[in-house]
Amino acid sequence: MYYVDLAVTGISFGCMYAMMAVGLTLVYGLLRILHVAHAAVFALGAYVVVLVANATGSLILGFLASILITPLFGVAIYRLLYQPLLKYRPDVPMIASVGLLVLMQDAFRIVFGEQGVTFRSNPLAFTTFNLGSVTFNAVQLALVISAVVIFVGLHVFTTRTRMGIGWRATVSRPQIATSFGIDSIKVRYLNFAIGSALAAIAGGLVALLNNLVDPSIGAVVSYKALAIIVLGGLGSVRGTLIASLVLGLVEAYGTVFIGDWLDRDAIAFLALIALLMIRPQGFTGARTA
Amino acid sequence: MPKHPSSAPVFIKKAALSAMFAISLLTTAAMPAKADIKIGFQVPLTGPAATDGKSAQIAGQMAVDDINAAGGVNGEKIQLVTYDDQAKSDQAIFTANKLIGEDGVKLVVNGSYSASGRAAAPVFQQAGVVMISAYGVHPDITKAGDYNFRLVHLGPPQGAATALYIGKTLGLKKISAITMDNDYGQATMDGFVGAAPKYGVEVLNKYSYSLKDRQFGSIVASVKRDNPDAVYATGYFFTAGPLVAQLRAAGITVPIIGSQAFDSEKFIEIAGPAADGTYIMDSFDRDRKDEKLQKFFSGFKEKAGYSPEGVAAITYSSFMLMADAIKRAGSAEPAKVRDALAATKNFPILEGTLNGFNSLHEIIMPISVNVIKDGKFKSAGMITDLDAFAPPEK
Amino acid sequence: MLTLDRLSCGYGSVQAAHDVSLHVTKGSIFALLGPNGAGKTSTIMAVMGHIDIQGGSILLEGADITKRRAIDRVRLGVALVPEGRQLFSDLTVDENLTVGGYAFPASSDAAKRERVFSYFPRLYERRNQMSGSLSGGEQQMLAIGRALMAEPRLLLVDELSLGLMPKMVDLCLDALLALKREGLTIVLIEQNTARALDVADQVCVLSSGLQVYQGTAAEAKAAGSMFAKFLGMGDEVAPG
Repeated sequence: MYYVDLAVTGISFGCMYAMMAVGLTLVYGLLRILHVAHAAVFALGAYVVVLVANATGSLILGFLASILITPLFGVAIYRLLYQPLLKYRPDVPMIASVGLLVLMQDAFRIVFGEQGVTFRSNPLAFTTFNLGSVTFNAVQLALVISAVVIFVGLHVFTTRTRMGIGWRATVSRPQIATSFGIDSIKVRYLNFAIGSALAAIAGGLVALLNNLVDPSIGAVVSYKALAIIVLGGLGSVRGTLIASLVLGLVEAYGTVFIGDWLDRDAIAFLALIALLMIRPQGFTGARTA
Repeated sequence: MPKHPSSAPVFIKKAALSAMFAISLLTTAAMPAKADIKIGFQVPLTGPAATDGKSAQIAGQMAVDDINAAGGVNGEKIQLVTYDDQAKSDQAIFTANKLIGEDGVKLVVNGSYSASGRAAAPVFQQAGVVMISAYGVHPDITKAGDYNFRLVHLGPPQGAATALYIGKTLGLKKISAITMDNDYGQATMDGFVGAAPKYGVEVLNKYSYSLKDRQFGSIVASVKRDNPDAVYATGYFFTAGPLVAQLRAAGITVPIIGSQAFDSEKFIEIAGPAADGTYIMDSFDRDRKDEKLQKFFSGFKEKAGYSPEGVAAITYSSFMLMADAIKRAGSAEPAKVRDALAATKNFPILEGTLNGFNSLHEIIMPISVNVIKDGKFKSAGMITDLDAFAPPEK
Repeated sequence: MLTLDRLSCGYGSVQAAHDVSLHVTKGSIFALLGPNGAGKTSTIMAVMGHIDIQGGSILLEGADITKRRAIDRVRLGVALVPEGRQLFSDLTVDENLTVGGYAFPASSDAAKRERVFSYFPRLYERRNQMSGSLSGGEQQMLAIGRALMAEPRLLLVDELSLGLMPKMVDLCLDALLALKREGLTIVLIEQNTARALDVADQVCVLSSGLQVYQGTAAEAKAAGSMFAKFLGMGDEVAPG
């Protein structure tokens, strides 16, 4: 059952990474920008959840507030930071993005304190379910359920609705999509809004799991998410999902087998380097930058 | 650059907001009276170590205020000269040189991390300036020379004492060991693993994690499989809180023994009810019937808005020890203060009674253990077998 | 149907076409010929609203649309079959058609789709395939079909025959002729001059951004080598 326990851990990590990394993939696919500041969006999502939950006593309200507020922040990043810089080379908005991330980390530190914020009441983190001898934590379960619901929902949205199909068309060929009456600016807003909402949910769930939101909460997931989108073949949502799950599982098993000389965070990069040597185009490799 | 004898304006080259934050902190501190003896003070006020730096700063200021309020030392008042070293080695060397060159400081308390203390120690040694490292744990700090002292146990002795406590005091034999993968964590764990057989303690498996990590799913699953009598973990409150919470959430109910840096109210806050039953090594006994300790506790809480952690207490103690050494030396002459420090015998500090220093100027002192019960730190005894965890000699 | 009046257009400070004036009659096929880099694509991209207009005007059925946004032009009845097809390659055939009709009510989709499939039955067979996996000819059919979903009155077709097998070129040109018979107005850019003159009513030759010949297809055919010279001359001075 030990290996099943590890798989549960790996899959729940993978689901968290997927919710975080898909936002990056969407932005990369549409604008060819490495949206490093997505980590700040993730962190903001976590802060809103914990602060609103503590203020109102309701986790549900915390998540609702986060899903509403965080996308506004994501859209504002596009509108105020990226849009004016789009006329320059893609590394210009990327550097601006790194700058925003550093600024936001310090802002979180100053506004919400060095020590981080914990939930006043966090029953989920201490609730477990046993299935045979396999233990599921409630938050792990929530991560998996959220990811499944979200990605099934996204799949339905992008294949069954005109708006979703138009969105994919814009990612594929923005100018031609405009020729058919699709407003590419609105698509960009939608893109940032959805990516940010996903990051908010992931951030909130990680906050519950850690029972701690500190200023650096986004840092680790951010560079892992960057590794994931490269592994996933830059711009491919399907590749990102596969890479997220693979990384989650590799980390979960890797930690116990090679964890004595290589920590979990390094595994992501080892996997990245190994894959890039074997398959420079990533897992799916349909499209490269 | 970042110089501020406590009333002077602060220059911190971070965002304007963080400067305002720091200024507001400083202006709350009391102004010293006529200053005669300068004590330099390096603390990380900005950057990732600023959490501990803030606590150290408040405690250091309290210590100086208390000393001056009691009439100072040898009729002279103490003046604090504080610099932000950002817990970085380059800043530590830069500010050390400023303390020596510009401020003419002869006595220093380093209230910062290992990287900083390790870089500053040789600079002070060369200049013949006495430095007490309050809580820097890198072995090189005292190896820099005889002007350097350390007021905290090194990792390996703490680890050895932990093995004794688990094996003899608690009588637990099968252990899963988890360590953070920095020097201090590894060194502490090595001390533990080395001493374990002496007390019949068997290390079932060893796991390590990165300081940035907050998700311990794999380690938790592995500990479950180990089915140990107890779990020993090194870490800081921000890793320890999630780790203990996740171990308990997975249904692991055996005692958890944590290293010194678990010692923080924030640890209890993060781990919540799961914190109960966690032992903390080399902690300080908050309930000790000691007037100074209780006064420090209430005074700190009033100033900082939160309870003092180990870092705050040991920084306060460092200043008290320095003042006592000046008194015993009858002078603030650094060579004399150094000799007085080296000759310290049974000096009461907030953590208990300091037996003294060994040849390398490492502390010789019993290790106290706390256990968390109902969300509160409670004393769980004292390890007094000093030979079992003797620090390295020169 | 479409009138360009001294139209100059380009990208930024680069001018791709200068002072182009032409008139396309309703229900006709208008061939825009000339060597590479002559400004043909720029001219129709200007009609679609995708590049900067630097001077002159564009009139659609007498209405000035020079300043209309690209996104609005589809509703005015202009649709594009772009150079190199430019399909949404990771969308299926069906989804590409959906995007074609994006500016119009979903309720009209089914009927329009039927019409596209009646011209190109092959697309019906492949309707759930990713468009990137289609053959060149099928992709061109889909590009035309996608444009038809936008209920155009003016169809802009850029490089219809490029890279296609002759059989496929026939099939696509037949479709254009059939559409013309139904009253659609078509502007066709074509490398293959002979094929273009076969189907076109009017012809215009651009060279280095300048209009060098305009007349009916019949006249152009009659001019023979003289007409070919216009095209050849362009080749020598074309930037490539």
